[in-house]
Amino acid sequence: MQIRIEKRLETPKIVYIIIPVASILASLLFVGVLLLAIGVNPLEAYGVMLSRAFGTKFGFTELFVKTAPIILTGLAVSIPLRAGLWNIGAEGQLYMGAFAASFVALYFSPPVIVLPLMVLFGLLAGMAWASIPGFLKAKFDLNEIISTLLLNYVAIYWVEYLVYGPMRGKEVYNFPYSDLFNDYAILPRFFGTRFHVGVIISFLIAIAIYILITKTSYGFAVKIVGSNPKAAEFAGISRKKIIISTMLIGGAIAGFAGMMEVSGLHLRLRAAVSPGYGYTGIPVALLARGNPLFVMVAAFLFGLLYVGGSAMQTTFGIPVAIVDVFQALVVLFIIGGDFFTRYSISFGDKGEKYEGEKG
Amino acid sequence: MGVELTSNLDSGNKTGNNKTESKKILEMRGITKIFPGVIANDGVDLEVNVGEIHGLLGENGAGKTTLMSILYGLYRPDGGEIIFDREKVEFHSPGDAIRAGIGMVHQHFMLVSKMTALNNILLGYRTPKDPLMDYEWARKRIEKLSKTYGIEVDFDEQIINMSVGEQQRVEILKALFRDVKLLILDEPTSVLTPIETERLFKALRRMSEEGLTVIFITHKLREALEVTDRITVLRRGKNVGTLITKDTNERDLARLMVGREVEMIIEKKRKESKEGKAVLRIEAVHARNDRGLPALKGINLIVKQGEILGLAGVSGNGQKELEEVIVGTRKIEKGRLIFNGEDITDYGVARRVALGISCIPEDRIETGMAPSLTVEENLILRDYVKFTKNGFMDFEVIEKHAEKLIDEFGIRTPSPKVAARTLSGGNIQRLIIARELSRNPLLLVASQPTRGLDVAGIEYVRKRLISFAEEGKAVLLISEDLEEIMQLSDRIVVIYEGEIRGVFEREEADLEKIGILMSGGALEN
Amino acid sequence: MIEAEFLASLIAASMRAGTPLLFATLGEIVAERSGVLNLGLEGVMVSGAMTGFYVSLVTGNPWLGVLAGGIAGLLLALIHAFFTVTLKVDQAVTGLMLVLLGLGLTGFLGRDLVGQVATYIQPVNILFLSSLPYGNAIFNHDPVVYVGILLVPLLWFLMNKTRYGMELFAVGENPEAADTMGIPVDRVRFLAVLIGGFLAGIGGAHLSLAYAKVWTDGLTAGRGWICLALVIFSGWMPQRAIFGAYLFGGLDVLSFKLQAVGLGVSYHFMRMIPYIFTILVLLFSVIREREKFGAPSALGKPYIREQKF
Repeated sequence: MQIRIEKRLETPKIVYIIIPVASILASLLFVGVLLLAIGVNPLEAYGVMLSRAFGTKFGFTELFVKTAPIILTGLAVSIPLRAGLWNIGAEGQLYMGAFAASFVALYFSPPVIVLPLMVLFGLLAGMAWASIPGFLKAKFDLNEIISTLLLNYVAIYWVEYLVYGPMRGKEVYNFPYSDLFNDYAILPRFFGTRFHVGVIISFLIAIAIYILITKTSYGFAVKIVGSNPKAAEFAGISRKKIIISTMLIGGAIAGFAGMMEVSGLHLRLRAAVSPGYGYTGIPVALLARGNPLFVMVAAFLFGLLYVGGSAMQTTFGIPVAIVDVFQALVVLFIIGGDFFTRYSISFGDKGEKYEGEKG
Repeated sequence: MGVELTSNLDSGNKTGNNKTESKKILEMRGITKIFPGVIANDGVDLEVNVGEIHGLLGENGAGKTTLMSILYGLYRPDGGEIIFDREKVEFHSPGDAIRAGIGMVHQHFMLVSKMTALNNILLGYRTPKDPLMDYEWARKRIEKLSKTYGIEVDFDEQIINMSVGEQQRVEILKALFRDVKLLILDEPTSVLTPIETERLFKALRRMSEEGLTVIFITHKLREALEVTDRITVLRRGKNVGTLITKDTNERDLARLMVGREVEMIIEKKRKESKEGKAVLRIEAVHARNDRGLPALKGINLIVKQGEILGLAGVSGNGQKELEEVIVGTRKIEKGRLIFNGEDITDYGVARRVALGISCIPEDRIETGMAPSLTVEENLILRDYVKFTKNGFMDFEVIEKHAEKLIDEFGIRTPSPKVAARTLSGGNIQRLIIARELSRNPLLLVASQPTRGLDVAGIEYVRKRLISFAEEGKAVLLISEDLEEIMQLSDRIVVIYEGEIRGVFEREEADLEKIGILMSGGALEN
Repeated sequence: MIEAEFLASLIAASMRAGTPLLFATLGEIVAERSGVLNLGLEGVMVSGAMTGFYVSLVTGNPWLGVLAGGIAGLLLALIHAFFTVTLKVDQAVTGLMLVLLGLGLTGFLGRDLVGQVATYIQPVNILFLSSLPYGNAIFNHDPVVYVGILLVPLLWFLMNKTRYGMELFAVGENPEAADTMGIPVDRVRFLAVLIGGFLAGIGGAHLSLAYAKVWTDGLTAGRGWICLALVIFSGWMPQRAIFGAYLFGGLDVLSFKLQAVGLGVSYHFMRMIPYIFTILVLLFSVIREREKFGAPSALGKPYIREQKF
């Protein structure tokens, strides 16, 4: 008995639909077992999750509010990924964006220019933070996975330092918060909910990035670098420029996400700006295979997870960490399943099966 | 278990009774191997006698390497059986084959370049002090082998610092060290100078005298005729005949191998005038290789209009670096490049492409294409800037361009929209030639342009190169295949260790002189 | 006198704090030498830390805890090995998901462990050596610290002087060549990844049971990533790993000690130091190692034999 693994020449289309769906179901099953282990009925928990997201106006708008930053971090990971780079630092870039925007919000005037400046500074801070690993990669071929990740810690400690120290608010008791922003530094909201204009902008950014990377010569160059860096060089494309520029674009988008979170949601700088959206960007980018349109879809799935996760936490006391578990499982199941799209597997002794085909 | 034992006895009896069969060391019967979309071996029979040098002849893609990889346990056959040394065998891994007494020297050497020769020879071998490494014992053994077969290597040198010829000797010792009865050599001469080839043949004859059996895979008729006792010819995955070497000739073998009468020689018409405008002038160029060592040491070359300039040499003597220097992907340390009268030393790749420098790179898949991109996209890989409108890709024009080239250059692909990696080697080569010639360049650098192609492919590429030169353009042909260089070039230069060692007009060039220069020797005046 | 005492306690603490890093780095060296990059080290370590803590809490036996930590690491590594070696999936993707999985699972399952007190690993005096000057700093540690130290020459020996080491090296450099010499590439890689996971798990358990002596969510705080950098810093050589590990152990400790001394530098700035320093060390390593041997040539690349067509 022997297992034979062979590359498929063509993959049945249906496989591409079955695998994600089956992966999500399998992950739900797995997480269900974990929930059972701590004495929670998984069906009830999933019920709460869905009814929170789709049952109320608040929950439904909240779904969008949580999806928006995930779209942005998903893009922040996707763009460098198309050039073959792993930007694990979206979280830190987001924090730096949040910091820069808050700085503008708290200390700049006149009011008219504050919001635009917050956007600008958020973008620039995210870019600046991403430029460090980008430059180190381009110049010294320093592993960008490790450097982007480590810089997250630095950024988070930096923001913590600020909200415990120089930027701590006057009336926040012992919380690590800055003062609330003035009205002119807050993104407009709709429907009497937390649904802010940043959500719409996030979707627009995704579409713009889609056009950039699929329709322009820049996008084509990025694709060549991602496919074969040597061929890119042979084609006269500067790999270094692509490395740095994709990191900068990614960083800028993540920085904008940070600005959006403080200006649209928290309305102040705080220690926990993001519950790990930067990391969620990784599975999102992977599921979307770097395509910004699919990023929106995948981000929606994870947005649902965050809304549901906090509902499960308040109702059952389930740690939000379950969201991480779910994310990891979905991706693992999908890439495991991917194997079946690339290879066909058959069992049996050598030869016999093929003898028939020969004749 | 009892059953197996009897069956072994049976076959033993049978071979004992039959004298002709008792001489056989290997019998492969009805070997079939199917790769997705390709039948690599289609019911191949092969019989090899003890102590003979058996040639396995066939075009690239005829299935020679696949057949031997099956014998060596690398691939599992989809059908057929193997009898080795009188026993029916089934190898699940190269380890099984090695234990049974089969060694293989692959075309691409299977050496760990950061290890010494000695450690490579010992790789996976259990010395008496196993799991410790018994170097003393191993050294003695290898020295004895070296003497017996006249194969010498420096044990303590790392592979990365060795010439290809030396590396091949390590490979052969690796097999001999394991007391193989049968040694398979896959295209062993393709990387050797004529002198090294002679040395190899001598060693092979020694082995044969010592009772070792050798299977010699080649696509070169002359070599098969020179060194083998018998020759089996494969064509399109089938055995089309086994011949006794001394009873056959080049013409018959060629017909068997290709399946039709072939005009094996395509020669370029002599250029009428020896004078021609210099298209490319390389002046005292120095450059380093990837490891930071000097690879080009003051190269001076002129490539003229209407000519093919052949650069002969064993690979690793600076050819790749020279190619990259001209393309613009490698930095020039010292010296100048003049293209069409313009100093292009400091120009980037894109600017050189625009000026009219094209290139078929040596590593076609490594550098010549982006495997996950489509055929259509690969056809504009180096020209994509021309296919844009206001920064946006002009998909309509790209599609038309692709259709035209696919048609004109006969690229076989199911659609312009499939990933280029799904194409066969020959079609990838056509794709690259199509792309590089379609922009109507003035200079084409062609590195090993026919490597890995079948006869039809080789013919096609050579004709293309010739007609390109005859249009008044210039070709720099870099090839390890001396025959190819001799047939196509107007002038021939020899490169050795990053220096030009000789320049010949075609009429005055002869194989022997070039061979000596390629190995670093000097010509007597 | 105070300075000498400060130094002695700093050395002692560096060794203790460096031991989790040492185990994980050594483990990752073995895995990477076989050509498999396990970016999930952070997740593996944190799993070892939580499992070790939990088992020690329940059984009252910290040694069972250490063993359990190793096994937890092994199980996560098993996932990595299955995906990357058996299924030939992208190593970076699987590794990153392992981080999420490890952090998520421990955050989820470890919620009740926060604030609990387990049985910790106690230091032992080695004979009379601890009465020597500075002896107390070097010879008064828990046994895991010494095992870590002994592991270095052991691994060095195995990797450089035995057939196993040669085969591991060959598989990580040129798997095709190893394959043609009958070395079972996948088996070697699978095993190397498991060893790596086991050691990283033990490192994690040591962190929760001997150094931090507490369980908190995300206890490893980026140590897994620091270890990945240490592997590069050490040039994939066990004998160098110990310097890196103790150096970072010292750095970790120093930030607390200086805080206690009260230099007036913000706590948050002190916490940044190891991460910034890691990047600097990494930078130093890549610049220095450029002309040298460097990484295993096949690192990160799946090996599939029948890929010629």
